[in-house]
Amino acid sequence: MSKPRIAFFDFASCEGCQLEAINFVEEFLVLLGHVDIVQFREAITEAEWDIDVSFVEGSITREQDIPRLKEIRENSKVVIALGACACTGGVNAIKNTRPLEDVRADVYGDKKDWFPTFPTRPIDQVVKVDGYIYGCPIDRNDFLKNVQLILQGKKTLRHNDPVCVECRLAEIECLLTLGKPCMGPITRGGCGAIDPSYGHPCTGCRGLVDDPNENAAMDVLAEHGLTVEDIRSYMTIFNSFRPEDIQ
Amino acid sequence: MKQFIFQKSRLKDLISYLISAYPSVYAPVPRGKHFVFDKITDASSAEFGYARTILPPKKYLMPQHEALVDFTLNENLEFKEVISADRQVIVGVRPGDIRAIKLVDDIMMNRNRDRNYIARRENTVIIGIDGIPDEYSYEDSVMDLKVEDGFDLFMTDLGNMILVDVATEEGMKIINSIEHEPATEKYLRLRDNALNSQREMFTARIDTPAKLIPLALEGKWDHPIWEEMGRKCLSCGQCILVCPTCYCFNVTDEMALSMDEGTRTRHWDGCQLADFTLVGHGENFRDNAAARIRHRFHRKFKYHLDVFSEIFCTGCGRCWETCPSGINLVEIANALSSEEVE
Repeated sequence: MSKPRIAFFDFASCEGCQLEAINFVEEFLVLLGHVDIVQFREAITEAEWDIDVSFVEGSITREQDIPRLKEIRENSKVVIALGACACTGGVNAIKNTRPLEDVRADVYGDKKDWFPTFPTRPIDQVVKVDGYIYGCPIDRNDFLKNVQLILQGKKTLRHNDPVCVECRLAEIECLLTLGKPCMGPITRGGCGAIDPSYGHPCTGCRGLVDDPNENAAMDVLAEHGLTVEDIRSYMTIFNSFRPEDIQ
Repeated sequence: MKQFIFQKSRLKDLISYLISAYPSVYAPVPRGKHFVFDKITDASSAEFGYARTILPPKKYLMPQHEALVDFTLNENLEFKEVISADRQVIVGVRPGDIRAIKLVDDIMMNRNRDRNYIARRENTVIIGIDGIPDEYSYEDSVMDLKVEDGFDLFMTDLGNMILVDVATEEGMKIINSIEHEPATEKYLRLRDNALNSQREMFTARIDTPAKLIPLALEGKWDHPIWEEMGRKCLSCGQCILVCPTCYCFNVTDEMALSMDEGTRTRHWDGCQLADFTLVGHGENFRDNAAARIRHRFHRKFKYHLDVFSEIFCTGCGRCWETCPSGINLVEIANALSSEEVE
C-alpha cells in the first residue's frame, strides 16, 4: 500500500500552525515515515496535486481565496482545517465587528483601494471540511493524535469538553476562584489547559463548544469585574465570526 | 477499635516513618490558595489545616487517566493487561472522603469487580483526620461526622494531643513507630466535645434530613429550580470531576506514533458534560443543562439511596466552591423541600 499523500496550504494567517507542525522535529520525522508530503510551502519546494489529506491554515478574507480553496478541495480526498483562523476565523474575524471600509483605511490608508477584501470567514463557509485541529497555535500533541486518527480513516477529535475538564483533572487552581476572568468553561479543550497552567486566563482560541451558555458565561465574567464592553472584546478575540457576517 | 493518644509534635515522626516504610505517601500540600493531595518525600511538606483539596483522594484508587491494556498490532493482535499497584499511604483524609471511598469501594469492588481498582485499593493504607468546615462545607447535613470504619488510622486533633482510632493491624504497626499511650475517658470526652464544636461551625445546611430528600423530590420532575439552575450552568463539568463519589469514565484507544502499538486508557468523565450522553447517529438523550442538573441531583440524593441505601453526597463542598456560577446542591435541596409535596 502506498503512503498517504499529504499537503499543507495557507490563507490569511501567521503560518504559525504550520511552523508548529514542523517544530516538533523528532515526532515529525516519525510521522514522515507514514506519509509523503507533496505540497508544503514552508518546508519543501515541490508541488504536486492528487492529495489524500490537505491541511489548510488560515481564514478566507479575499475574493481570490475562494477559487484557490475550491481547487484544493477538488484535488484532496480529505480537507482538514488547521488552527484557529481556518476553524473559526480566528483573530482575523475581529475585523467583521467594524465597517469594512474603516478597517481597510486603518490598515492601508489612502492605498486601501489597492487591496480588496471581504468579511473574514472560516474555511468551512466556503468548502466542505472533514475535520478540525483547533487552537492558536495548534497543540502539538493534539495535532499528532489527530493526524493518527486521520491516517486511520477516523474523524478528528470533537473536543466538545471545555478547557475546564483538563484544567480540573490536572488540579490547576481555577482562575475564576482566584477572581480572574477566564473563557475556559465554554471553550473547546484539547490544549492541556496550557494557559491556566501558567496562571494565564483562557481567551477562547480553540473556539466555543457546540452549545455554549454564553449568557451564563457573561454573567460569570461580569461578576469578576468586567464591564459589558470588556466582556464583548474578551469574547470576540477568537470568536467574532457569525454566519450572518457573510450573508 | 482501639484508641490511643500521642503528642502532636510526634506527628512528623509518624509521617517520616511512613515515608521510610512505604513506596508512596500522599498528603495534603498547598497549591496557591488551594490544597491538593500530592506525593511527599519530607514530613514537613504535609499541611493538615485545609478545608478541602481540589480533587479528592479517589485519584489514587482510580486515577484521572489510567492505562488498562497495552496492545501491539503485529501479525497477531497482542494484549497485555496493565495493573499498577504499589503500596501507598494516603494521610490526612477527611471523614467525608473516607465515606466517599467506602461508597466507591462498594461500586468498584462488590457490585463490579474492577481489577485495577481492587489492586490499588488493597495496597492502600488510609489515615484519616477530622475536618475543618468552611462556608462551602455541609457534611453535617448528609452524614455522621464520626466515621467508624474505612480507615487504618483516624486522628482527631485535640490541641497538643492527637487522639487516634486504630482500626487495622497495619494501623497498629504504624502507630507503634512513635510513642503513644492508651486514650483515657478524658480524651474520648474531649473528642466528643471537639466534634460538637465542629458541628456548630457549619453555616450551610440542608433543611430536610437528607434521607428524606427522595420524598421532597416526588412530583418535582418539572420543578422550576431545574430550569433556573440550567440557565446558570456552563456545562463545564467541574462539579462531577471534583466529586469524591462520582465514578463514571470514558475509555479510549490511543496509538503510539509508530502506529504499531497502543494503549487502552480509562478517563474520568461524567453526566454534566454535554457529550457524555451523545450516542450513535448524533442523538443526545440529555441535551440540556437543566436535565443534566436534575439527573445529577437524583444520582446523589435518590437513585443511589433507592438501590444502595446511601446518599452519594458527602457534603465536602468541592462542587460548590469550584462552580463558576455558584450552583450548589444545598440550594437545590432546600428549594425542593421548602414546598409542600404535590
